[in-house]
Amino acid sequence: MEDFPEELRTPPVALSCLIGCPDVHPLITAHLHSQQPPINAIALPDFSKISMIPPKKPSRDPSEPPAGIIKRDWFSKHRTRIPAVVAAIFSSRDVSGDPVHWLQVCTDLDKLKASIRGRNIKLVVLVVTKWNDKDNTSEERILALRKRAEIDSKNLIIFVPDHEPELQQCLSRQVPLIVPLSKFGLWTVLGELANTYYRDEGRRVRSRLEKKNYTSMELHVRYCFKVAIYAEFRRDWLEALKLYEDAYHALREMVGTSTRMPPIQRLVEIKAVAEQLHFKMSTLLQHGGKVLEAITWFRQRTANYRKLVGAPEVIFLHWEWLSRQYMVFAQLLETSSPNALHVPSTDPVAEEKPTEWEFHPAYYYQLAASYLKEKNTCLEFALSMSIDVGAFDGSAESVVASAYLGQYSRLLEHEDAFITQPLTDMEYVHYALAEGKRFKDSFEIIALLKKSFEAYSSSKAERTAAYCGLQMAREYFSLNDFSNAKQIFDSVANLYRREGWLLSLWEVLGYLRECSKGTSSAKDFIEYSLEMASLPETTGSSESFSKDCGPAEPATSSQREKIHKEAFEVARGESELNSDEQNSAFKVKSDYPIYLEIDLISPLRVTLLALVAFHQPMVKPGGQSLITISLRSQLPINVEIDQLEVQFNQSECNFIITNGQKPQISSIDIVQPGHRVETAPDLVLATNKWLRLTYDIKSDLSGKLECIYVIARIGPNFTICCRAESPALMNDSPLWKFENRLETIPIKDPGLALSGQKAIQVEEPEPQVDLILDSSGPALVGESFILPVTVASRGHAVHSGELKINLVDTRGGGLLSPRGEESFSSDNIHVELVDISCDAPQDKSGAPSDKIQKIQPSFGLISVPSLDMGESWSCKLKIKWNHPKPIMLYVSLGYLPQSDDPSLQKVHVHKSLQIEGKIAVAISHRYMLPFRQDPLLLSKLKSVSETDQTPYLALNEKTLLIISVKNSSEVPLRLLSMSIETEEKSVACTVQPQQEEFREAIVNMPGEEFKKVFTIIPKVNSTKLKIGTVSLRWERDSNDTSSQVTKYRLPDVNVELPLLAVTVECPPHAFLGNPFLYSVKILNQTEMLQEIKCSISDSQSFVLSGPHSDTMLVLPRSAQVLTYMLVPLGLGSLQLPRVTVVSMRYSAGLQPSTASLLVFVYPTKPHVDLKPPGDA
Amino acid sequence: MASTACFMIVSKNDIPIYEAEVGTVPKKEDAAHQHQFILHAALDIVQDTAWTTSAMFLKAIDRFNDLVVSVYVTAGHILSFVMSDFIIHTRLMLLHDSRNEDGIKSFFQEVHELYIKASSVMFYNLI
Repeated sequence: MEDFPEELRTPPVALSCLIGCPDVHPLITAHLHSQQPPINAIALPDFSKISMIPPKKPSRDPSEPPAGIIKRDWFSKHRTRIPAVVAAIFSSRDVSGDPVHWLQVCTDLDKLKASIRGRNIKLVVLVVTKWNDKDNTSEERILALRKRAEIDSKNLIIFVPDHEPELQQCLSRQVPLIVPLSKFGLWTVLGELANTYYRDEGRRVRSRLEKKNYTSMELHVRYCFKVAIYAEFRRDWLEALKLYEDAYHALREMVGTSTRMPPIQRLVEIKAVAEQLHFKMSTLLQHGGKVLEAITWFRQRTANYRKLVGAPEVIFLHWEWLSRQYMVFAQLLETSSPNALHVPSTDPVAEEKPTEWEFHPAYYYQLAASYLKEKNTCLEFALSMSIDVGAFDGSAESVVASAYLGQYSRLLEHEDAFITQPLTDMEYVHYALAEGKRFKDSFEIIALLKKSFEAYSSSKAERTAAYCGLQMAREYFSLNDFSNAKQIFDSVANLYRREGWLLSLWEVLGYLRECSKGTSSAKDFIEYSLEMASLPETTGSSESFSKDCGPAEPATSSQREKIHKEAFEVARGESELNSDEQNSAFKVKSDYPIYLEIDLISPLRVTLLALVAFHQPMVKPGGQSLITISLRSQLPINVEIDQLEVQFNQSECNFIITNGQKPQISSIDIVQPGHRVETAPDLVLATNKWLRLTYDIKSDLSGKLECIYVIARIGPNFTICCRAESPALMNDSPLWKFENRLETIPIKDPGLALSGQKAIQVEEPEPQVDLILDSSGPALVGESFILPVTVASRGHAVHSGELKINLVDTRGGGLLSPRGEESFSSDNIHVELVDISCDAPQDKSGAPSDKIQKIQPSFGLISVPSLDMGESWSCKLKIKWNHPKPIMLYVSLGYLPQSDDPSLQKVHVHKSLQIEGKIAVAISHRYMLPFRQDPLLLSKLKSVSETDQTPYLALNEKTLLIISVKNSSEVPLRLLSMSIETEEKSVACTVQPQQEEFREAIVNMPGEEFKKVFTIIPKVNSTKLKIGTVSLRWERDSNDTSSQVTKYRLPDVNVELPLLAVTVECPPHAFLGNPFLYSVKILNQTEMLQEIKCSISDSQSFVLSGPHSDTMLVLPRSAQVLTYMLVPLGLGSLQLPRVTVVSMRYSAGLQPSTASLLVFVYPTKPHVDLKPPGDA
Repeated sequence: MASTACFMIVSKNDIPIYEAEVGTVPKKEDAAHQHQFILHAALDIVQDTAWTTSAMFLKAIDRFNDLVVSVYVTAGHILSFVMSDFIIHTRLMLLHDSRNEDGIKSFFQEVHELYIKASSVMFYNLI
């Protein structure tokens, strides 16, 4: 676009001319430029320079045919030299001054009028005055001046430059100035007059068009162009567009009809004019936001002209021209306002709707590049055809562009003057060829394609970008810039390879092959050649793609075979890799071996595919397994492999297969002596046929045995290292997916072909050592559980043994209690490994330095000393349960059966054991009142709530506390002592006995319950009295464990002063017929008189004396005793008469329990001394 | 009227599975080898446009000078339950220079029908 002159690229701006008073020119021109639309101005300092304005030429002779279509400088003349309006500027001093000055003013004005009249240029008169002098300006003279200038009053302006408000008014505002001589500002006046000028000129030319009083089409085009330009000056875009359109059509019609010039030059001229018209129209449409129209028109116009290639020797000019059209259009599209760029994809616009890409500059850049490439091709052809271009070279400089657009002539020096002479077509062709020869377009093509490539890439159109990339790479290739070309070709080839576009891939690979020749890279050359040779056949390729397939030549089978042979000749070192451009040669030899690696994603997988399958999934160490190696190649010719090496992850298993047909070659090439060598009858890879080789394999090492590589050696210096694949996981190449070929299975056994794996599991050797975990039943919470672990050798010696211990929660909840995640203390760990104690090493040397011992709460590691066959060793694990939880104990022993071979794998023995953690003893408690005593506790009566289970104890009264210990484990326990540790001071309550060591340990069998009675006398009246904690010391009923303490905290109790206490007293036994006393004592501990109602029921077994029913008053803090005399009438255990005591105040009654009212009646006094020994 | 045309069937994973020069003139020499490249590049637009319209026939979707790419996209998402994976979202692409839109459309429909028939042969074994 930069090639176009400035006046074409920018919108036309009206031109004015300022004459006289040069000191105000800067002010005025700056103002005119700042307005919208701006007005350009030619500044002439005085009237003597009037001649600068070109005078009007005499009109053309109508009979004479026009010399050309448009004059090259016509537009620029109107933009820069011929003003539409002239502003004559006079000083007010000259106008109003002495007659000499006035006369001069009049003369200047007359001269000016005379010079502009011919061109019909408009006139404005400015009188410059000073603010102070403005009143001195003679109105008469002003009037005379206007009349002399023959202008309207509005076209005479009094100009006051030294007064800002006046100046502004004068310059732009449409208000009357200081004198009513002028109504308008300068810019408005100039703009209006310029518009009038351009309109008049346009009309003048248009009238010629309408009259059609001309014969040649050239004039029609010229007139249309001029009227359009005048319309553009007036900013009448629509008319301009219409006339450009007319001109364009007229121009198209001229092709082949006009005979004015030699045909070649005529077409060049027509295209040059078309280009300008075209540019103008595209600019107008695009800047007007009509992108869709611009695109549609562009396509139609270029379609019109695309076929106008012209004479065969200058076809290149046509393609250059077309390329320029596309490039300029792309630039316009790029620079036009982004707001205007809307893509109406869904609108149904005619059948010629632009495609999505036609809205992108990248599309046009790409086509521009492709036409430029076309130009290059044609130019090269034209140059090769013309032999005498060189002869014209010297005179090419004398050819210049002539006055008419698109015409060239020869400039001759004749008698100190230059004259131009028209060229013949032959001369022009020579000139064009010489010019074409001077410029190299490759870099421009690359730049255009790069722009396009980047734009497409950023739009995520990778395929379109790849096509651009391909064209770009071809251009680099033609420049012998192989490294750049290779880089792009590679990325393009990747795409075609991935999507399986064969012919495209073939062509790209052909280029890559040549690039590798250029860079003397034999490895690349062989790789690309092999890939090409392995591509599938394409139907009909020989016919349709016979021309211009790049260096690859047509993708025929013979070409494939040729490439195959070339590659192997280079690989075997039989021929050199020659590069025509670099004049260098490269040969594969022992100093420069070739090593190709083929992995799962390599394109060369089709060249050589290696599948390896073990026949068994597992094998014992030292046991034999069969392995099948299947190789397949899609190369068109059979390939004979000299040697195959199969490599495993266990390098001892590697083996070599030599070709039985070539024993002499195989023998020299064994890489690692000592390895197994097999000989196959022949190692020939036929096209698309599996070469299957089956051998035994043996591994002594346990673990995974995997085949990694299959390495094929062909010739002394060529190696193909192919990564082994499992048949089960084999993916077919996308290139071969839809090919019509015979599909065979890689291994004869179809099951193995579908499921075969390239890896096998070698089992571990059978361990010959026992690992014994002695469990002594469940563990008890609190104790350190001892678990003996014994390692006993049966058939293996143990060396470098290591014992690993893991404690795992059976339920998977973890061994930490939930709240204990942060604080890692022993309380929070449910079960922990505390210690591992082991016997002293049995071997004499027993270096302690290599002894490992590592203990963590749930993990332990300990080294096992070396043991000879038959020996044993044991250790004891000390595990502590803090909470009842079952755990799984995993113990694993790893050892070496032989000490002298560290490369051997360790043998592992695993044992596990589930251990329950149980609570040893369950402690419970119960409060009891003393026999036949009942205190009245009001709170106890009131507390009816079921939830409140807090026991109530009577203050200062004795209460019995019974602690029951139940053995909930499965082993007998020995109870050693029991104590109650009071938490508060003994003032609060008295506990008897505080501690008791059992003189003989009490053996508590599983499920048995042991009870111990304590007495408690609360001393403080309080709620929530803390009694204390029961501590029970116990041990397992076996001597080897230490004693454990189990604690049990007694719940809090409420203590209350009893209001009344009822004590029933009677002897423990009686004798038939012997009376005894039965008394009920009621103790009132309150400060009030208590009314007590007391009754007694009759009993058949007794004769009773005393009140049956009575109400009595018990004085405060005193006791009342009701006494009955009873004579038993029956024998045995008899129920005493039931006494009921009711406190009237508290509405509380007491009926002693049945159990407390039993007495045993003997028939006679027994002959035993019932008295205690001390009573005698 | 002599015309140039290159026809291709492209599978759903963008691999060409059939190609034929179907024009009445065998080749326009210079551009003949470019047909694959042009059709391949046009896949970019096809993959964008195919999901924005319910039409199967996408006419003149890309242009290269006088040559125009028209595409017929098979309704993969409808057929996928019934037909084999082989026919899902297959694109029939034609690079042509003639403007006979109806002819091209009916050509596509005919090919599509034949293609479905050919692809469904395997079902006869099941019946």
